[in-house]
Amino acid sequence: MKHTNWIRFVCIALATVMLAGGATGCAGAGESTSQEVWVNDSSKEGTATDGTSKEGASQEGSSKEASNEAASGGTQNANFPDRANATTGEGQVKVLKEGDVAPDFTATLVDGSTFTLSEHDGEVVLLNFFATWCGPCMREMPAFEKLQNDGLEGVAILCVDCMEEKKTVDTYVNKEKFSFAIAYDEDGVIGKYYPTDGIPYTLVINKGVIAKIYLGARDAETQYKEYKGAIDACLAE
Amino acid sequence: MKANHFKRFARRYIQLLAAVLYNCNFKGFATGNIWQGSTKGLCAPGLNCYSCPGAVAACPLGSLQTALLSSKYKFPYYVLGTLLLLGLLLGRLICGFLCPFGFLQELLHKIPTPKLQKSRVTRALSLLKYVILLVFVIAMPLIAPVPGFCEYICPAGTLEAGIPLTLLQERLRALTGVLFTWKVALLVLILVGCILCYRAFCRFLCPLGAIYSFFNPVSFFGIRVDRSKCIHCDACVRHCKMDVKKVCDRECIQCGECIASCPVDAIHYGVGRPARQPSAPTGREAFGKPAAKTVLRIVLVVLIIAFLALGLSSNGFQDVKNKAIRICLECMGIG
Repeated sequence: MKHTNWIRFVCIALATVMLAGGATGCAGAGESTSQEVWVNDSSKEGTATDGTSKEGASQEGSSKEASNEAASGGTQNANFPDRANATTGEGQVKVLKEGDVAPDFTATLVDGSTFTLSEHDGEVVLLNFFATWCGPCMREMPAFEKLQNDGLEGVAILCVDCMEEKKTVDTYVNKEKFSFAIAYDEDGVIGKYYPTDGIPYTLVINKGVIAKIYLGARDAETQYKEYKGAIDACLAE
Repeated sequence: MKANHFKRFARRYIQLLAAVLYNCNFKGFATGNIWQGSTKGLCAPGLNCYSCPGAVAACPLGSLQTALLSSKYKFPYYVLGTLLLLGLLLGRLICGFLCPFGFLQELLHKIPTPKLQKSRVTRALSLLKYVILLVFVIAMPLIAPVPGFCEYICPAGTLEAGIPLTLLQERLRALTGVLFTWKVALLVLILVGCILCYRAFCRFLCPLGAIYSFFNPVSFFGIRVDRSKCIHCDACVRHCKMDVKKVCDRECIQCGECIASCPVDAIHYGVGRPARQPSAPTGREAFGKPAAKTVLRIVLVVLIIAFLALGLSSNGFQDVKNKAIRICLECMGIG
């Protein structure tokens, strides 16, 4: 076969494969309310900053108000009547910002127990989304272990794995032997209500209300100081 | 006239088509949001950052590094199977035809300036990409754990993802630091290098090219030399701007530029079994005996089938997609 014929063949084959793939992708993206569809909206609403933005500061008032509301007794979710629930699929999925009520969920932990966020509404919850393929996530994990070992009263730590198989998460936990709570989220049910276009994605939740949001991570020591500072600030309120 | 034009610019058109097809989420360039469809579970053959707002497929090198990061917990069958498949089918033909960053380098080289010609020094420097492959792509994700190439070197990540996304998303600008500055400086250095030296990044630094180079001797598609016609004048090697010692050796990107330079029309694109023509009386076989190549191909085909079957059955496609639908902070130098 002549040179030009081969070029034509490669050209047509490439175009066919990529267009077929593209069509599949379009269909996949449009067919459901999957997590990734919501992640797209993040830049429009401008959230998930390093926690020191003006936007965060401006919402401090509403955050405190909501926190006081949460602490004022009654059943936990009764304080937040419109609170979204990832497990039941109730409520609106939206890009979260500081001052928002954290969507409720019940997660299955690697030790077989469960963790329901609303049961910790009287506490400070450090909620982290990670994956074993994520370098920065792996690097900051010792920070959570150190915080857990600090034994802070009124503080709960939960790391949620993003859509990896249970087997992979189990292997990770058995190998690293972390003592803080690690949860599965194989189908991305929880992640859908905590949309982010990057991980690690960490939220400090004070009495059911998001106090700080972190996107990305540096080394474990730096992250430990960051998270410790945010937790202390919440505990001091 | 029309046929001649196509023959002359066919490779350019394919390169352009590949670059457009890899990055056909045009809306992303306006909104700063990356594509999150199912195609992100597929690895594109060439170097193309999956955090590029336009990218509709995953980067094979980025996928390999992230897969190696978690290889302690899950063996990366799917990514390795994909790389073996691409390598066995096309070898470095991918570099010559299907790599958007290679295309960019060729365009930059057209800027009229004094050019650095190939020499023993550039040939020696071409070994550097194997060191980068070993240290930054394999060792660092396994040991550190850091996707070393993406985080510290990859100019495609900086150009296609780091710069556009930090321009389009204010909150990402807040995360940039020394690492981002380093990556932008390195990108500028590499782009200037590509103006002065033909495909400088491909030749000296690209670990994806290094991976595909191992497959050049056994790939199904690619350049073939008809040894019964070859008169060993080395016109092809002299004409080639890459650091080749022989046509279709590890440095050959199978661009086909040498075809026209052959006085006896012994070079052509071919498919199928390795050449079986007798070697030249004074020449040496570039890549061993054809029988050995055939055995190697069979072994690779078995490996590819096994790896892809195991990878797909263990959620490998979904794993690659889950990574590729999120902005890669390492690729952008803000990890």
